[in-house]
Amino acid sequence: MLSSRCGSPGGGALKRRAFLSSALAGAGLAALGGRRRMAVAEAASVRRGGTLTWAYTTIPLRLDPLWTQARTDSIIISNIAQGLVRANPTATAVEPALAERWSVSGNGLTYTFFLRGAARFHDGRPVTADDVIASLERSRALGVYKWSLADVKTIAKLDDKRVAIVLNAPVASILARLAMISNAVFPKDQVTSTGQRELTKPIGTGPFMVREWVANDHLTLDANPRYWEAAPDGKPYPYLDGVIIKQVPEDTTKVLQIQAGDLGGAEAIPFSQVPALKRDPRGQLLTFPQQQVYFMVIQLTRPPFDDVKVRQAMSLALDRKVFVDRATAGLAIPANSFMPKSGLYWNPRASLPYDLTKAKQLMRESKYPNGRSGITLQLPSGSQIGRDNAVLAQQMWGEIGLQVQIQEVDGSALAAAWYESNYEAISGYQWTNGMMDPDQLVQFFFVDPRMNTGYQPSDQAVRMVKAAAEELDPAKRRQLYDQIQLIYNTDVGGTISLYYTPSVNYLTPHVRDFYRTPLGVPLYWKTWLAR
Amino acid sequence: MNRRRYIAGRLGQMMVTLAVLAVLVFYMIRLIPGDPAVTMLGIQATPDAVEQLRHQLGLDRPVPVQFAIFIAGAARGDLGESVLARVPVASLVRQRLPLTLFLVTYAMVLAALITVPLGTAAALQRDRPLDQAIRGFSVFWISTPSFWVGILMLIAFGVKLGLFPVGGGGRTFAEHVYYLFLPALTMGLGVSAVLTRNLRDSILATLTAEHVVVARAKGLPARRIVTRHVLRNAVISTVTLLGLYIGFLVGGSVIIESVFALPGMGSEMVSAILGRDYQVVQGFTLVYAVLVSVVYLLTDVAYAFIDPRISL
Amino acid sequence: MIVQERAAGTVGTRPARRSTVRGWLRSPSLVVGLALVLGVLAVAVLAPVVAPYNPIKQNYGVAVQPPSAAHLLGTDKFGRDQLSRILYGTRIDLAVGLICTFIPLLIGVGVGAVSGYYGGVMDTLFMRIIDVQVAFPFYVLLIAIVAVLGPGLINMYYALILVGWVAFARLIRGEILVAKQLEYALAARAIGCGDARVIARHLLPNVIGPAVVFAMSAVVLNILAGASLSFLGLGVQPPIPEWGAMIAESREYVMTAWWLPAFPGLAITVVGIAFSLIGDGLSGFLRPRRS
Repeated sequence: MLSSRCGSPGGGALKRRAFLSSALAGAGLAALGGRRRMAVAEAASVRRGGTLTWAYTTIPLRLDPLWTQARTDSIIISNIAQGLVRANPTATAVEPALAERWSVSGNGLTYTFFLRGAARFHDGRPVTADDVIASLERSRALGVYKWSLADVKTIAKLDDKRVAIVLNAPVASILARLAMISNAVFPKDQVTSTGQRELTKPIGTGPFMVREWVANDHLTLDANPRYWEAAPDGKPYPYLDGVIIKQVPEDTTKVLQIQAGDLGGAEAIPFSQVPALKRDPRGQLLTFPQQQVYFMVIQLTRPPFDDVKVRQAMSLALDRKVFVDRATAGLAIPANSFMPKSGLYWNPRASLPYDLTKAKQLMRESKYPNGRSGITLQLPSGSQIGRDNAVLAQQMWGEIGLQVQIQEVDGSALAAAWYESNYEAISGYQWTNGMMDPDQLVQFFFVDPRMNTGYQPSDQAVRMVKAAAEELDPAKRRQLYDQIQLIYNTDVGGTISLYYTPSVNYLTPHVRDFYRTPLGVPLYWKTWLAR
Repeated sequence: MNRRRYIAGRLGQMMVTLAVLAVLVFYMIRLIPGDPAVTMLGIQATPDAVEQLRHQLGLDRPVPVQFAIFIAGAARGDLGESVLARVPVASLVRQRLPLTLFLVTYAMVLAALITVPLGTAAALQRDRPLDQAIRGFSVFWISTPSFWVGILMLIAFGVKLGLFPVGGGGRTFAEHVYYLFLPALTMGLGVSAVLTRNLRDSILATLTAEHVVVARAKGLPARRIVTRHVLRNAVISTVTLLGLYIGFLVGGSVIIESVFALPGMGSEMVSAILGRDYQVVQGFTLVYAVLVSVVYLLTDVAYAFIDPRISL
Repeated sequence: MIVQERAAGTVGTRPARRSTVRGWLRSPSLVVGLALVLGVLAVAVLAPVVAPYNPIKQNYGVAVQPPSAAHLLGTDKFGRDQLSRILYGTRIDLAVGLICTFIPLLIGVGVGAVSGYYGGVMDTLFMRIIDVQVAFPFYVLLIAIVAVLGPGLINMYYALILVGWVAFARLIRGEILVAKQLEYALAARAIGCGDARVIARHLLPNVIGPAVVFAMSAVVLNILAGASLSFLGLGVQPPIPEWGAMIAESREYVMTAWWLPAFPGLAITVVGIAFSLIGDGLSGFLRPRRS
């Protein structure tokens, strides 16, 4: 989902990304790791034109950012629509999008946005303050991301090209929230006529426009000739004439199609194939870091998870390095916090060590000194990574006397069990940031009772979460989030973090300057084809 | 002629079958734990969002009311709207059925092209090396997972030799024939492995039957005996099996579709049931049932034509 | 010709059957097939004795290793010994293959024989049940059954049995329809044999051939169907070793670690060959008479 996603019913549809690894990439790719130099590198030899065909395990089911929960949906919509601001390519700061600049009042409550003169919708109409207000009001009233604008008091038109957003109270993450794709801008008349229903043919302002959308098969995007953002050659992005997003569920088939030249690229290549593909000259393998964390879910109201010592022992008994090596072929990074490593305010000093001796000792001191058997660990059926994690955890938890039975359950049944809190433990769920600020993630883990059934953080911890959400000084905010991460590690709330997974992309050799942000957004408008 | 009356009677039975099936599938899919609204909203589902969505999708109405709506729609040819894709189920069917039909027919044709000569040859060469080889072939293909065969075909003919496209179905008839060759062959080989054995045995049985022995005694040419007397009789149980397989193939082509990246009925049906897309499961099951019932009807009618001794 | 003589002598006489048993032993494919199945059965029983390692014990130091002296069939991604897993897997797969074939065979033969012989209301009723069952898409039915009952081995049996009997019933019914009008059947009735005796003694032995031969293929098809359920994660639960699940799990290794999908596949092929040989051998004796 736009803002984040945890666990997918389809399970197998893994979403990953990582740091750029490969030297295979052509000349134009040399600068990819350090984004800042990219523009320079691309200007020299860029070739315009051509259509890129790209495969995902599933293609977007919804093109209305208010009503989608799927990562693929939101990252593709990010190529079609935009809001006032957007996350920068490294997802570390907010940068101008439809607003070319903004100003903030001294009390931090009023934000004034100055709309970009060149910004036009796909149908050629200029973007006005009315469009912005209509879109944001819809997002504030409807859909899954209402919370993102919950503290907004008014959205007012100052003139055709100026909008003022007034808050009830300071919201540290307000710009990050506005950068979420749910707050994208659509023409006022489309917003009005769509109303509560779902937007199916979005007229956006992004670099690509929808030409054809065939459910569960493909989505054809054409270049937007009026896109406001200029490339280094002076002409507007995108370089490509279009992008075709295809649904290819079988991972091995994706790889073969790329090697045969039938596909330009694909995401979600099995980790285990990466070493071999790196050596294969028929394609280029690119990994990008992403704000994604895999974890085990445990329900704290059920024994033996009701004892914090047991939970601490469970976390200590997991050798995360082994998880990374076995389940992700060494590509992921062992987790040290519930917050994703490449995200803002991640605490590098937090730690989740492996210490079997201490784990056994904690078990002896716990309410369950003889361990416990018959614990059911469920996973969404068909999820390879969920199964791998479960099999690994089964052996490691067995060492401290917790006997686990693995049960694959179909994803929808598991979602229902989750919704009704009718489970003991779950493997294969993950969280992927859709918002660059950790505010939502932290709220969800500490304040929202659903994520951690039965987890009751101390009043102090809850107060810190609230303070961090309102703190406008980044340094003070960092201190708060640092501590919050340490508290969660000690409490071992309803999730035990395992590792941070990269996005693995495999491309034909002539695709250049492909880049995926840590939020998963592919910058197709900066991608070009060498032939 | 009572054949016409027979066919009319069978058509009536088919309607009954479809009605029973509609009731079954409707209630069965609602029996499975899981809820489309919860599935769609994922882990951040809040009770009020779930309620809102259930209302939007019409899932908060009493089940019998939902059933009445489904039946009334189906009778008019309206299969409702997909919860997940939010397009009419009928348009999903139009989008996916032709490819599946083409693929299955193609696989059947290839299977027949492999089965008839091999089965006949094996029977006529009984226990000689050719027969052994053909039996070996069939044992091998029966026992080999189609997923594996598919991938190997893609690697060999698609990537290494570049003779066929790797996945996709093509648009025109000629493209279909070309694009779907590997998946149809993968499917067809698996089917022909079972059918070849069956045909061989049936032919052997028929060869010893009296009328064939008589025909031989009368000195009729061997070719004519095989085509007129033997194949015609031997093909009966093979046709039964073929009929059974068509049903199996249409609904069970998921793995082939997945490996060859084909947007067919099978994968849509499986993802619909996994996603609790009730309308799609109901609609596709009905369409599938109509197809299979028609195929069976044809098989039964074919019996009558192939073997006039069966009274209708 | 030998077959015809034997068949001609079959009409209700005992000596013919004894010669059949002796004949069975003369068929090399039957003997080899039976020997293979017995061998596989022995492996299933003796798995704990013959397996060199614990099949679920993970040993990360030797993960994804090609076949070697220490691990004859290599190791999987958790460093588990693949030979041991395949040996233990025999227990599950043989059970799936046999139970999910022979129970449906019995049901199918019963239903098909009664239906084909008596015709009328009984036939109509059974045929309509079969029509509904067959018109239900295979996977939708399997997934739905497993989803309702919950995943696991026993429920997988139920699902495959519920789906499997139909093919046998249709096959037998089709053959009986033909056979009951043939001279020998008419003759048997004419000399006053009861229905049960006509079916059991005269019709079934003559028409059961294709069903039994098909059953031998069905053993493998059921193992593969179990594998398909494993693909969807609805079959045997990890870490229990099962061939289909092993193939499903090694999907991503098709191009990088050939031994992971190859050996479980080979195990299925061996079982397939064993039963096919039996089918071949039996088909010589169980051929339907058409005269």
